[in-house]
Amino acid sequence: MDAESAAWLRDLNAGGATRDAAVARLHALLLRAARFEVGRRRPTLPHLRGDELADIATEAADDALMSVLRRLDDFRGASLFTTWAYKFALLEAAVKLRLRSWQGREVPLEPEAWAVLATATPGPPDDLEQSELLHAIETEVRDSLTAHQREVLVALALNGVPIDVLAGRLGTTRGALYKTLHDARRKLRARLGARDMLPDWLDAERRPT
Amino acid sequence: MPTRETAHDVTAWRRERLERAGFPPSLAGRLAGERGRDLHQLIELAERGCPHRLAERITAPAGPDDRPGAA
Repeated sequence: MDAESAAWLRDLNAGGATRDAAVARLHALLLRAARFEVGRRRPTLPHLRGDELADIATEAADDALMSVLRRLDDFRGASLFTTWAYKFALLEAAVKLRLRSWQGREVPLEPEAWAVLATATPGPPDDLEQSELLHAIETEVRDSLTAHQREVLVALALNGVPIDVLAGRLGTTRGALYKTLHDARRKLRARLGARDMLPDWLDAERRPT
Repeated sequence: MPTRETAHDVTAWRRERLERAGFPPSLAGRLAGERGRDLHQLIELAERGCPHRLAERITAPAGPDDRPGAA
């Protein structure tokens, strides 16, 4: 581990004024990182005012500080400590901006995207096969999944709702939704496999962002 | 921070989710307004046949008296 990173760890694990000063320096670093990320994404959020963006950066820095302090023992020195810590602030800022961008927006849970998918087929030779596959998926989504599994799958996989947005509205965790998504995909894989209609994309273990 | 309008919309959205899962309107309305309440867990319990009142108790946010070893 480099000397600068070791000094950060030493000071943050110390007590009293040494630790307080290190925490303050770390918070300042994280605030710069969060402001950078907020500024970078600002063009995509024209409806947010400057003071709102400043609040988001501050909240992101605060939460990132808590995360870094909780996970000090996880730092192995593979990079500079400041680089490692910086990423926490970037992530927190990105998540908060994404949540804010969905604030007040409808979270679509109905499979309105079927028609879009159906018209996005690659070309005439594939039309029939794609159409049959989409029909089979639609049938199994409707008949094989529970209502809640269907809503989670449709929101995350079809309608592009960010998982942290859905988790926030439901008051649950990303992990709980991943579990439901995994169960729904497994059930669909089994049902489509039994009909010999399992598409590659459903066979892959992929996670939404 | 969420605006009052947005918080109202989210509560209405949560209430609709619960009612669609079979929760009585009065219970759905109350649980929807409790922001610490995990709707995902509530709905999954209900879909597995758990009575709604029991699901409410199971998903109640832990209080200080619920800690292991608490008197």
